[in-house]
Amino acid sequence: MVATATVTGTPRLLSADAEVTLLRVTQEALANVTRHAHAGRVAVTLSYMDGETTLDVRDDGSGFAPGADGAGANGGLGLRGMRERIEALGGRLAVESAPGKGTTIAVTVPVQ
Amino acid sequence: MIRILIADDYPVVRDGLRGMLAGEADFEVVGEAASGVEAVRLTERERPDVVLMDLQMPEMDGATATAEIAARFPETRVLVLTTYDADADILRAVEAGATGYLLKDTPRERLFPAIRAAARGETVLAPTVATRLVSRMRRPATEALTSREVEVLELVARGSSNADIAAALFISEATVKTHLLHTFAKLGVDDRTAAVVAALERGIIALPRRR
Repeated sequence: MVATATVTGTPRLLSADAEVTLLRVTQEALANVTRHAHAGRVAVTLSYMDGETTLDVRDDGSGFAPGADGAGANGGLGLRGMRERIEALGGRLAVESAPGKGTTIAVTVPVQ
Repeated sequence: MIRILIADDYPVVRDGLRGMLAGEADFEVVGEAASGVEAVRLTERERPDVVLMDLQMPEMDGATATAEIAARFPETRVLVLTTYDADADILRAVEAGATGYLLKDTPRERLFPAIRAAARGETVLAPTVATRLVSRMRRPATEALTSREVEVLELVARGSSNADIAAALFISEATVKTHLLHTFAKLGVDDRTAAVVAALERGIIALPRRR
């Protein structure tokens, strides 16, 4: 599997909370890709913007129908835990996926 | 002697101006035009020193006529005399090459010196117009787009949907939307078409090459 990491915008310090949370979410998302996605490619993109920072983890793997498993209610993806951590920071976590279309975890956290 | 052409679609305005200007020994009204087209034609024939130009006229508006006169008869100065003081009108006229911009409520003791100054090639602006231009310049310049925002905008210019852009950059559609919102704010626009137009105008992106 090919993995790439990209940073856009001008990097700046985030709160310790936000940095730790983004790191954990990245680790969790990458672990999911390894375990479930059967992907050939995964990319982590950290984008510094005015007032917010986004983190995307996108793979080209098998994907799934969001809703079926998207909230993490059935376990497996651990999305619920990730979402709770992000929302505690005032951020948002979205999952974009469709069967056969890969999966993208999209996280936005505000700049404190 | 300053030779003056009056361009205004209202006969009453033309008569009033002609009457006012007749009292000044150094002014000579050499023609009256009721449209932008006529203003250009009479400028070509009479080669006036100053054209008093209304903006709203039939058959070619004042700003377009001003641009044409400025390009073809650079020795003729255009002094815009209008009721309009919206930023867009002022900017269009000044960009078109108007030497001055006055409002129709200008008293004659200001108008006459303004015509003489315009004839000498000096810029004359109504105080309210000058204030608007200066405050516009004081506004912080458009914030620079990040290279990622430029990338996104180039894809928009090629007609890509958010899903296409997300796939091309291998990021989420949510982040594409976020990039676009920041880009719109920086460019001062509301939608992707206006963003592409603004970015093209400012040279931020170039027209996509045809394949």
